[in-house]
Formats: sequence, C-alpha cells, structure tokens
Amino acid sequence: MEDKLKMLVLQIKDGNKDAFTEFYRLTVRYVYSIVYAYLLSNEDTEDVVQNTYLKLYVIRKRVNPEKPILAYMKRIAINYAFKQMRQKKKVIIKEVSFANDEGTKELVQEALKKLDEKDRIVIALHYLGNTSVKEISLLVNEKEGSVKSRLFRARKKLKEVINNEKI
Amino acid sequence: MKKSDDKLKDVFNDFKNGLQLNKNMEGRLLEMIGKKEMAAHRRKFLLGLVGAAIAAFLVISSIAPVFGKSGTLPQVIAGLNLERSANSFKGSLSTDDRIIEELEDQDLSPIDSIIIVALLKESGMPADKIIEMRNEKMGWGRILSELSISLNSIKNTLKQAQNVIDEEEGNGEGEETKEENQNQLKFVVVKGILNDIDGSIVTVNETEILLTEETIIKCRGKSVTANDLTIGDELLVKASKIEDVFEAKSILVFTNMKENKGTEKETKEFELRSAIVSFDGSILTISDFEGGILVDENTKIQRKGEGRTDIESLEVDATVQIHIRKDGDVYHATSIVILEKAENEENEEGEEESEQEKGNVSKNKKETFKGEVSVVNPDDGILAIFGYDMLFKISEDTLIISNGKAEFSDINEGDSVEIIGTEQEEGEPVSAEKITVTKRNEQQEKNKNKGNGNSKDKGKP
Repeated sequence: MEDKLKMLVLQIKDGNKDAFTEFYRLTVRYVYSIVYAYLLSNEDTEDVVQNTYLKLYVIRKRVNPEKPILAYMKRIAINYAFKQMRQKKKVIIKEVSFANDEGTKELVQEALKKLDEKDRIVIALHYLGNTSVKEISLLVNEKEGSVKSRLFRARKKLKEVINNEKI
Repeated sequence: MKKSDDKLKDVFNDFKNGLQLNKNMEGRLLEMIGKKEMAAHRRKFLLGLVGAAIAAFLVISSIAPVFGKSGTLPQVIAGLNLERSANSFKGSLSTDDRIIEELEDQDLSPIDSIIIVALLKESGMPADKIIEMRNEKMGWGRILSELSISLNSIKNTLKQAQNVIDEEEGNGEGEETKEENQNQLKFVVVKGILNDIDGSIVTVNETEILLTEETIIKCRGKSVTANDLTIGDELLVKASKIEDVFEAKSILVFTNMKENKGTEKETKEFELRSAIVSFDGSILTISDFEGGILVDENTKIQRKGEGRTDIESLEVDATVQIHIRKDGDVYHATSIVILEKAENEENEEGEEESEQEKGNVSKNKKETFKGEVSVVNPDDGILAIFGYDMLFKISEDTLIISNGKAEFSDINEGDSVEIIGTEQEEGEPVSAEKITVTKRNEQQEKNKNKGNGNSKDKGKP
C-alpha cells in the first residue's frame, strides 16, 4: 500500500489527475474517519476532507515522496479540523446513515460524544489512524505523557459505554 | 487488557468501514481543482501581459517622448541626474553681469540657475533661449538633447568649477593661474554653507562676500535682512567681482538654521542626588549642579518614607534626589525626593538616625544602604555589602542603574552601591528596589579627581 501511494504521489507531482483520483479513492475513508470521529458532523467533515485534498494538489510539487504521505495528510487534515472546530465553537452532530450493523456505529458515535475534543482526536488518531503516541503528541502539540493519560481516560470511558451495551 | 483493546480496535474498524461517504465529494473536489487551475492560468496570463506592457513601454519610451515636454525616458533620467548634481554643487561658476540680471529677472530656482550657467559655458547658446525652453516646462534632459550637450560634459563643468575654487582658496599655489582666473571672473554664482558673518562680510564655504545696500536676500520667496542669516545656513549667492572683492547682488537662503531652531525645542532630562545649597522659594541650587533649578507648583516634592510634602521642606543641607528637565535654557525640577533631613533636624532625632545608619533599620520601611559590595551570588539573587550584617535580595523588579539601566550580572565585588530597599521579617534579606552602582574603576577615578581638586566638570549632568 505504501509503495503504491508513493508511486501515485510521484505521478501527482507531475500533474497527473488520474493518479490524484486514484490516490483520493485509496485514502479518503482513512482521512474521513479520523476527521469525522473528531468533528462528529458529516457536513464539516466533508469540508475539511475537501480542503485537505485541495491543499495537497496545490502544494503537490513541494511534497517529498520519500516521506510517508499519510502522515502528511493527517497533519493537513487535523489542522483544518482544528480550524473548523474553532470556527464552529460547538459540535453539531447530525444523523449518520450506516451501511450495516447500525447499532455498533451509533454506539461508537454516542461514546465519542461523551469525550472532550482533545480526547476524541487522540482516540481517533490512535484507533482509526493507527498513529503512535509519539506522533499523536506532535500532531496535537501535547506531551507524550498527556497523550497517554488522555488515551487511558478515553479508553476507559469508551469501554464503559460499550460494556453497558454488551457488545 | 490486550483483549479489550483489540475489541476496541475492531469496533473502530467497523465504525470506519461503516461510514457512508458522500459520492459527490470526489466530483466536487475535481471541479474545484479545475477552477483553481483555470485561475492560476489566468493569473499567469495577466502577469505575462503586464510584463509585456512594461517592456513595450520601456522600449517605446526610450525612443518616443512619452513623458511630454520632459522627453523620452533616458532624457527624464538624464534630467534628474543633472538636477541632483546641481543640487549637491558647492562652488562658484563665472558668467557675465547681463546673464546674472537675466536670471534674476526670471526668478529661477537656484538649481535652474546653476544648470543654466553651466550650460552657457558648454553650449555658447544665448541664455534667453535656454531660459525660454525651461519656461516652456521642458525637462533638463530634453534641453541637453536639443543643445546636443552630453550629461557628462555638464557634470564635468560643475566639477571643474568646484575644483577651481578649491585651488584658488587652497594653499596659495599657482598664483599665475589664480590671477588669470580672477581676470576672467566677473560674476559668480556661489552655493554653499554660511561659515561666518562679520559685519557686512559673509563667508560662504571659504569665499568672503561683501553685502551691500543693494544686496537682495530672500528666504522662501520672502525678503529678509542680513540679521536673519545664521551660521550653517545653506545659501546661493550671485555676486560680481570687482578687483579682489566679491559683491553680493542677491542671496537665496535654502535652509535657515534660525527657523529650524525655532521649531526644535531642546529638551533633556536627568536625575541627580545632591545637597541643597540654597533655596529662595522658587530657585534651588544644589552642590553638584551649576546654575539655578526652577521649583514651581508643578514640581512634585516628597519626603522619603513619608510621601508628599510641601515646598517649605526644602531646607539647606538636606540631601535630595532631584529629577531635572531642561526646557530650552531653563532647568526645571519635575520631582524632588528629600532623602536626608538637614543637620539641625537630624540632631533633634538623635540616636534613631545614627542607629539607622548602622543598619538597624525599622521593619518594612524603605531605607538607603551605601557601601562596597562584599558578596555577589547571582544564582540566589543575593548581594552583601561591607558594614551591614544583612543580605539584600534582588528580584526581577529591582531597578539596577550603572551608567544607564544595568543587569544584576553587571555588579561585581568591590563596586560601590547605593541600595534603596525594604527590610522584611527578621533574618530575611532586605528586598532591594533600586540599586545604583558605581564601578570600582569609576570610583577610583572619582576619588582621584577629588584628590586633585579637579572640579572642571562639576555640575555638568
């Protein structure tokens, strides 16, 4: 997957739009899930995701294909998500339609709602973005120790919700 | 633990896979990218267009007179260059009386006068023709072109005119040349700085010029008299030379120092600590300051540790910290703090004062401590001075002065200090508010001067 993305980035740098579309299709769910878990709003998440890919296209010539592109995408997406959250000043949670297993998804969404903003982005990056504690600390500009305690606290809350529902 | 974390991972994985993404998102994104690219192309095209327009303008302006009467772009540049040379010219240019009269009649600017005289020397063209072209608002670059004179030749003329004067007024060398030049010089235009006024003789640069009753002196279009001239003024003098004497026909004043001085009010502020020598109710004299200091209702008078007090408290021999502002020629006391009482009052208070001097200060009262620094500990912000058995705590708020604002690190052992501070609880260090430092070498210099009775600089702030 990494090699495939690297190859696509090289083609995007040359202005290949097909490569960009393919890159988008391969990565959009990954980026979307992280942003959504934080913003909990489809509308806001779509805006952020759109801006993230647009930004990537604009600065494509400066992107270093040797560095992991997903880390780069996470950085752009999180910056936009933080900006969106600051503008909204409140979380607007809208109805989400799920393809299957409606109960589990609603439960996750309910559990995420119970966490504060910072805990939510830490959980999203950890479980949805497969991001290490060190990388999370850099992305959210917090000490590794704080990230660990946020993870611990959030995990505990999530488990409580999930266990109560007996999934 | 691991098992439950895996369970969470599974839950989130399901959550990610279950998210239904808006299918229009991809289309919208590609559309926006298309628009961005279009805008970038348009911007590039416009920038190219502007660049091409500038290039075309530069090409056309170098051959066609696009600047109207100022001519082509190179002519405009040459004109500006010539004006700059004329403006910085300081020297004498010779011409005849008829031309001087003509220039005066036209009331031309000093720069124009200098350029015209220089052009006449180069071109041999009648002055009225050049003046006519200038009056038609033609630029100097275009006039140069019409007269087929190069910019460099005019600049050289100005340079040589300056050199001739320098040589003439130099070491007295080349007497024959000087005489020859003197025979040629009938009327001159001198531009320079007024260095001296001696009765009716003014010295511009190094040239002495006689003012007569007929000399017209103008400053910014207004007639002024010789009394209005000040040394340092920048002048343009049109003069005739009769035998060895320059007689000024007209003087134009560019920069008038007198006017400038009028607008710039000299204001200086400084602070001194000294003993009162005399006070007559409004003028105060202190031991380390020459001249009187005005004390009025605006002067803030305080007694240290007691707060505001009145003018009656200013007694001879009392030590005061005085803030002085110099307004023009007047020294005005803006604030006076009475630090120590006069001797007669001191005697009344007796032991209390002398005990304070020994360091037994009363608690939570501001005191002054003077002495030589015995210990400096920058890590703890602690200072000790000889003669006192307490320590002094220096904080971020402590004002340290040593020839201006200084840092704690500037204080060294052996330096003399005066500390104003408040004693805390028993055994606690005195909290220093202000420290005035006299460096060891400065102190030695001071003592040396005192020993020699050197009081030359006494009273000069």
